[in-house]
Amino acid sequence: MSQDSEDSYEEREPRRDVHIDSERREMFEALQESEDSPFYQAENHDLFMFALGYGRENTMPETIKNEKGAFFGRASLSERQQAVIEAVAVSEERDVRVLRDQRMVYEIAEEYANAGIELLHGRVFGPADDEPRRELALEVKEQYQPEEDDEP
Amino acid sequence: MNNVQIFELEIEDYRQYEGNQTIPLETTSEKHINVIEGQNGSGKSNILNAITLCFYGEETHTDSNDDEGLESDPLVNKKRLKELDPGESIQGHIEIKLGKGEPEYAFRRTFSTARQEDAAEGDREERQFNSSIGDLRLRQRFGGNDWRPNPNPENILREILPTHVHEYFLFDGEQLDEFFQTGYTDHVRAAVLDVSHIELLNSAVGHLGKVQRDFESESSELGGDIQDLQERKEEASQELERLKQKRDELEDEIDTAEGKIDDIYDELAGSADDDVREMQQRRVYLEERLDEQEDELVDTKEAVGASLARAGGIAYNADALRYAVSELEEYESSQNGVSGLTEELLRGILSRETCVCGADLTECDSSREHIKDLLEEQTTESQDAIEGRLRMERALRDGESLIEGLLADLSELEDTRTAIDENETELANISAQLEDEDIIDNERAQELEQRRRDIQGRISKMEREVGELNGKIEQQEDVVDERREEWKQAMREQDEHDLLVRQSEFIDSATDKLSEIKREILEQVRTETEQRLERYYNDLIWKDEDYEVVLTEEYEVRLYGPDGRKNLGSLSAGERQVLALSFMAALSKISGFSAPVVIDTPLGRISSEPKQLIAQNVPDYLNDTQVTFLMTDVEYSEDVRAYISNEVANEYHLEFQNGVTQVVDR
Repeated sequence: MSQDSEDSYEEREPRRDVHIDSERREMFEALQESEDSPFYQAENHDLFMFALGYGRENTMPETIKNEKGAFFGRASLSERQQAVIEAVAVSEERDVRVLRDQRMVYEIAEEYANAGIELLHGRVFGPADDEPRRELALEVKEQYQPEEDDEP
Repeated sequence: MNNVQIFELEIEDYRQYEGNQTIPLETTSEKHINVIEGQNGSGKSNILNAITLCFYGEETHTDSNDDEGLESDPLVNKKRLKELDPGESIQGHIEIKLGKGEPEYAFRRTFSTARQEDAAEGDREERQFNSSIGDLRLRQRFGGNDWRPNPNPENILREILPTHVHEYFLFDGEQLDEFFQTGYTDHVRAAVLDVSHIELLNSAVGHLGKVQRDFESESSELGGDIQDLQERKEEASQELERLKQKRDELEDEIDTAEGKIDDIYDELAGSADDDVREMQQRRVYLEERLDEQEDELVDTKEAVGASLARAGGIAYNADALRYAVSELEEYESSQNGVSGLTEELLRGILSRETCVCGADLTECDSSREHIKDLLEEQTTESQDAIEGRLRMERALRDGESLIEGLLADLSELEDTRTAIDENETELANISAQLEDEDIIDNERAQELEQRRRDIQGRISKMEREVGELNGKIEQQEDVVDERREEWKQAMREQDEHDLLVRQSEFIDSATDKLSEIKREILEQVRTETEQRLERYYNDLIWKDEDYEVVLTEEYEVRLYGPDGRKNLGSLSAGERQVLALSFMAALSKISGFSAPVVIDTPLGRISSEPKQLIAQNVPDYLNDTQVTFLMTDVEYSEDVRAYISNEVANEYHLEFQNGVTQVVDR
């Protein structure tokens, strides 16, 4: 996805909605609807953001293969979440000029979330963790700490 | 008063009421309240019972503390029954005159009690007597004094106050205290369904389903693949029905078993053994607390769900945020958005009016405009970059508080789980103690406890089965959909069957549409209930502050006061009663029936101070509806009386002597 020259980032508006693979919608829903899930009753956009991060941490982005279905309106993302999505695009492209192409910025997020949700669903409902809620919370805390190399 | 009201209640030989007694109850817009006051046992609740017995053939109020219940008493006045020889019977009746401006309908129901032929003097009452009720009858006034029988009393009653909503008009205030206890969302949901008038839609959906199956079954005569597919589809549908029926049966069995446990609890609570009674009281308390804790657990899981998702969204991407911030800082400092042309350089060119190539900008407008455009673009990009960086820095900083919030929610979840475990351990101990003859020397209690444990074991097993069945039902619904799709596909491939497929699809879309309408109606009723609940609560509550009441999509009632959300479990008895009275008022209004309201012991469980405070606001309660309060002498204190006196149209006292009640003016 990297771009060789600045001109390759065309100025484009993002789409109104954020999309997921329609065949993976059930995975999102199962994570939101089961009382045993650590994401019980989480909002669509919040769970999407988690899946995006989880996907980045654990796997590669995955193009949406099946029909794309709108998952939530972009307007429901907080300013903070929009900033995260932009940061992910910058980090992925290693170029701040990707921000001109907002459509691409959101597509990068969609691809990571698409990959992340499958892993997350497997982890929560699979046999590996006894206490996925606690395990994930501890992992989140750990992830937030800057790596030693990241220290200014 | 434009709403239907009771003009007169006539009672003959019913329970405490001997002979024929008529209670005029007409009210006006200015005075819309009736008060019938009497001490406990004087027949107050039987006024409410008389009304529901007349209309619906059932008595609303039964005393659950009494082993036999009121229903086991004979309907006819006991004093009159003494006159009876074996085999003889006496008949009584209830008559209610109703109307808007004036009496238009007289509903009447007779009842009789017979002395059994083989009854002996010493037999218990329920063995000696046998009561029965007659059909509902109606006389209707057709102008002037022309009263004639109407052969369809049930139809008219359905127009005035149908049976499924009557409990929001004619109710026992004391029982309301339990309304908002644990598990109340089911009652609220059921109540909203009751007043939504969606029975027609439900039966239409059921009918369409049947018509669709009939249509589609015609294809089984077509032979070949289609016949097979139709049969496979039909098999899948039948299996689905079988699973649903099995689930419904199990749910009914669970209800019955729970009823048996309630009976055991009543007996243990009424035990003569102090230890048994105390243990049972403690158990009831712990179980109520457990229900609350389980609700809290669900709420906390929800809170963790939200905080984990939010915190994770930042934390897993913290490296990206840090990287992007440093990249943007670099970009800002280089201002390298347009290669080689910094903002400073562009500003210099414009001020010197000479380009780096030597061109004189004073002589070339297009070059000057081009430099200006570049500068504007450069400035905007720089500004965007700065703003983007600041947003990312804020997001990164917020991560810390989000993680703290997540850990706090998680710790609350664990505390709630620990409290539940402790509670369950204590409950298990109580059960073990009740069964242990070394601790409780009471054979009956041991026997009851063993029975309770067996029943509870069966309930748990059935609940697990229901859970599994729900999973299977969901799976089977997918199978039905898949087979139906295969059938449709095969039908479409043969043009001559296209009409049948189209008919079936039309029914599909009609069913979807009806379901959508049903959802919309329910949503509208929920919203309206919420608005009215808030209005009535603020009308009735004695506090100056305004309260916000929210009825969520899950039918949970949330109350917000000046200090934030008030947990329903922490409401005082007075506040809870006000909430329940407000809810009943909201439902009675939303139901669309303009019927009178009769409330037995409206302030029964409320201590004296809030009682007076509620009484101050009672005149505003349902002020366009006839409201009849059946109050104890304690409830209808002088203070309460003073507060509502301006609104009271009729005030009666029930004088109870020698087992007989006379209704007298107060």
